[in-house]
Amino acid sequence: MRLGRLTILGLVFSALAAILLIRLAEVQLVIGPTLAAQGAAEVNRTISLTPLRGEILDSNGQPLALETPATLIYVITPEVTDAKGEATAMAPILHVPEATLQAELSAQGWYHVIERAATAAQVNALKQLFLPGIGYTAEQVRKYPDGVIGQPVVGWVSGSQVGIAGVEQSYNQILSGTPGQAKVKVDALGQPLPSYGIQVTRQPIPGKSVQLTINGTLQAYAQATITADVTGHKGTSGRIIIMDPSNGAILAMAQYPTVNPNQWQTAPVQALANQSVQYAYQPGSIFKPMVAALALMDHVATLQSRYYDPGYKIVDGLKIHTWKRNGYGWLSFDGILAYSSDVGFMDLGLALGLNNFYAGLHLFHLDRPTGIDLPGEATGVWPPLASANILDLAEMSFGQTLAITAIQEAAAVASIADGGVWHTPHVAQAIISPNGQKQTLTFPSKRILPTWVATDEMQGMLQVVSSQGDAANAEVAGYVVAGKTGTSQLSPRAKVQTYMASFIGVAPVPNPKVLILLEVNNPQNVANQPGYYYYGDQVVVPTFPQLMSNVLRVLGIPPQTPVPAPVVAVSVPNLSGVAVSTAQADASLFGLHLQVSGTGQVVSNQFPTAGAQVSVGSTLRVNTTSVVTGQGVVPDLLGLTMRQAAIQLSAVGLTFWPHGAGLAVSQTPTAGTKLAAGAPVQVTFTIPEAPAPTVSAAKTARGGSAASPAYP
Amino acid sequence: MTLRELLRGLDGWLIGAALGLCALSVVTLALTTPNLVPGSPLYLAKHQLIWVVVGLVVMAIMMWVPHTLLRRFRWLIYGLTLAMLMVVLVHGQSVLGAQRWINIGPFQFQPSEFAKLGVIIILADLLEKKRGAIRTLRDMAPAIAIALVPMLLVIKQPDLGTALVIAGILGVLLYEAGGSGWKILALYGGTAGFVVLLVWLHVQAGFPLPLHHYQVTRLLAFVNPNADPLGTGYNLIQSEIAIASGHLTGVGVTEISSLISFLPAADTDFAFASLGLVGGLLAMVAALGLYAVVVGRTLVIAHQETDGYSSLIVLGAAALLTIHVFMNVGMATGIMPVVGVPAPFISYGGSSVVTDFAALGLILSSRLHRVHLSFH
Repeated sequence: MRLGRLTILGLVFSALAAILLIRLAEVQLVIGPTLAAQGAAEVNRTISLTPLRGEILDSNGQPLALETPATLIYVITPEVTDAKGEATAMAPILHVPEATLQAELSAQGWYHVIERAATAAQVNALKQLFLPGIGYTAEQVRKYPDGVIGQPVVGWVSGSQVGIAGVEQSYNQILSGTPGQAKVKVDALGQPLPSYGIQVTRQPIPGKSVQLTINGTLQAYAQATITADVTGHKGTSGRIIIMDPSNGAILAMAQYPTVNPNQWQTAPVQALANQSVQYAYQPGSIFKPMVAALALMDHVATLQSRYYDPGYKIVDGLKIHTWKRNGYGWLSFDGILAYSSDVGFMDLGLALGLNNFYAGLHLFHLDRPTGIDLPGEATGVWPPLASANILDLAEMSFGQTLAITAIQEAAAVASIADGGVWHTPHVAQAIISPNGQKQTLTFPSKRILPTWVATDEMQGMLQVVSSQGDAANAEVAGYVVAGKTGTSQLSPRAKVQTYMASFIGVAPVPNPKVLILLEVNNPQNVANQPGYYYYGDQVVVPTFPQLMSNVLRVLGIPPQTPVPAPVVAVSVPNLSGVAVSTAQADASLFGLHLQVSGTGQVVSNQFPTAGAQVSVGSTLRVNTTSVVTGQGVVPDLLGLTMRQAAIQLSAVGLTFWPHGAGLAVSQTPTAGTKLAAGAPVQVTFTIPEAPAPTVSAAKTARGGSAASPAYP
Repeated sequence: MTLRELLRGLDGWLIGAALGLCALSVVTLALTTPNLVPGSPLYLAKHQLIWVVVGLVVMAIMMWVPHTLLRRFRWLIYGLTLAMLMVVLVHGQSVLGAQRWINIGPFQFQPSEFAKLGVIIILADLLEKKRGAIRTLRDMAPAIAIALVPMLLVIKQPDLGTALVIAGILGVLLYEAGGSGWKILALYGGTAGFVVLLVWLHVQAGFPLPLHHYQVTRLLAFVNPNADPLGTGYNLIQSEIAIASGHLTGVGVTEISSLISFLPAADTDFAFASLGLVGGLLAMVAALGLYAVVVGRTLVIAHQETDGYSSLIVLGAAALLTIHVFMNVGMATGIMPVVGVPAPFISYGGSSVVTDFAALGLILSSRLHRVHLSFH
């Protein structure tokens, strides 16, 4: 009986064992291959190896965009045991608010990226903490060492390192290279297993670098200038293009507002677009040079033509008033440019006719993108030829009713400046392979105007920047400048008018090497100037001379005429009672020539008198007396600085023996004592509670002061 | 009793097979968990080794304690068992949604493992007294009631696996004590059918069940794992993938660390699948062979036993080990539902390993004291 039951139990157990064996064999041998393949599919992955992205360099080879190694920090949320504690530990290292981190650590899902570009120091600090659930992956991240400098030209990349703005986008293919391939084994979280390593099946080919025509120095300068111009006039936006009109190379392109490409994600949307390329504005009077050139070329005007501007013109039965209500009366061809006579240009436009005018738009590349190597170029807006009427033509003739981009404007004026050859504007000049091989880029150029037209037109533009012109303030010392002001209505039909103040100028004439286009949208009358305050000659022209002269200097373009040294005003120091040698030193410190009359050792009087404003380099005349020959009276030195004491003692021919530093607190012998010439006077100085007066304060004490250099 | 006598009581086959299984466990743990604790690649393997040593000491103590002593204190042992299970429910440590552990100093202690031994000790007494007089369901009722209390307590944790193990032990002991095999089968079959009906009603008509949602879905996943391959069926599919990927002799170290990361509870519930991945079919068949040796030797010892109580104890221990093996390996290969029963001597964990060795101690105690008696 007992044996029987045990035997049956034994048989049952054996049966169970047999079931297990059969099932094992089934799993292994029958459905095994399918399962194993399923397992292999889970584990084996082909990954793409990201190639090193090429750099973006300025014209001097300085990097504007480069790759830096960084670490991506991620979290496997289910492994986090104490989200609050970990967040507290990580917050000071990553400089991320604790609450944000805690939310990420306890978020839904498995995997979250906490930081895409952590530094080595941050990673080392975090690894010391052995935080559960936190992992690290090596990455390359794009860095823009100069931040906003370089925008909007350089652009930026998306989180997956694809160029999505600027040169990063337009040259993305060249910059990004060719991805490689590798086989890895991953764990359940998709992380490659270090023990297996990476079996590279195809090496990635690094991207090439792009060298720009952008000059880093000019770019930074342009950025500072436009920022100051827009904010200074409380404008809404503004842009600067600096271009070489002889070849179309963009030397600088800056705008405000702009973006720090390292943090483009958080930038306001209105700062993201390239205003010079992606936006079209009604150009206003800076459009007139092209109309004038067309009129000359099509022989509807000559330099000898004369125009009558009564302040309005009746076109198609409609009276169009111009901004100069009373008009200019009779004007020459140059005169209508110099005074920006809208009536004169309506005459030119109507004389050209619609067909010639539209052919001119095409000629100057104003009806289509310039083809600049930047993404998203706008085409501009104009009434279609078929539906355009005479009124449209009249208004287009002075730059309204149609909209063009700043780069179209710059390229068109550049073609006039370069003797009639239109150059494709471009920001890149060369592609540099990882091995250093340089491939120079070429962009198409095309003659669009006869040389004589361009030359005659430049004569007109020179008049603008002459003493009679609109923009007399745009003159640049030492260089011949041609240019045109503009003030356009951005939305002529809106209730509240907004304006764009602009100036476009080239130098040196002839053969200009620099073109500058400056535009500020919606400037406000910040200085409470009487009357209107949004005209180009009021808003942007004052900025132009200094900008142009500095650009020319940076580019090493020599002045055409000698430039007078800048005049600096100083106020004359009081030298009376001072030893001649000290007077010499003081005068040279103020940049004045000292002319000494007499043979005395001490200055008795001076001309000009103390406090007078003179320019640096002026001559200061002094008379001397010889008060002391054999002996000197010790002056009262208490309270004086060391320098003042030295001056006083040298004036009476005594030797100065100082002790300590600061202000004089005691002297030996006392004031009034008569001593032989050259005898020592001992003075003790201590530093008072308040800081001791400085050298310049010493000058002030004698009634003079060095004025800060003021360029008129 | 001297140490020499104690050593003489050891059964070479039994101990050898058990230590062989432990060796497989330690090697598998060393190969599958090198990155679990940073800087300490052998963390789990070393700890498992410590638990084996502790288990051997417990085994020696259990050997030294005669069954008669256990029998005398059976109600105390049973009472302590129930008390611990209740403490778990009140103060237990929750891991992955189940409250199974209590902390004693630095150790986590799983009373449900030891509860199985407590149930064997008290049921052996009860059934020995009724040996040969178990004919009707009413005759079985006291034993069923004794087993049902701890079963309900562990289900509440919830730990369905342990409850099923206790039920299995009960069945084996009822049969060994003379119960009708057919009636026992009818009882178990009827209960199982009733449960299936309840689950079906629950799924179809929202009939309320005292089971946790995950337990129901696990039972359903057992029926069709691919219905929800990333949810409840995931464990099972990954377990089978691990076993299949091991082929005949296992895979290399890199593949281990890769594939093992997909396998949940690879060191505990699915330790057998880990073994399959590391050592292939060869290792798994070897492990089953070692289990067969352990159970076979236990049956032989039970057969040699003259005392009815001891014989029930030995068979209970044998049932415990066998059911564990069948449920665990069955779970890993997809023929049993995923209920979280450890593989004896192979799954990582102090409570489990020590319980397995304690069961060996119960078996060897019978042999030792019988030999002891025959010489006096």
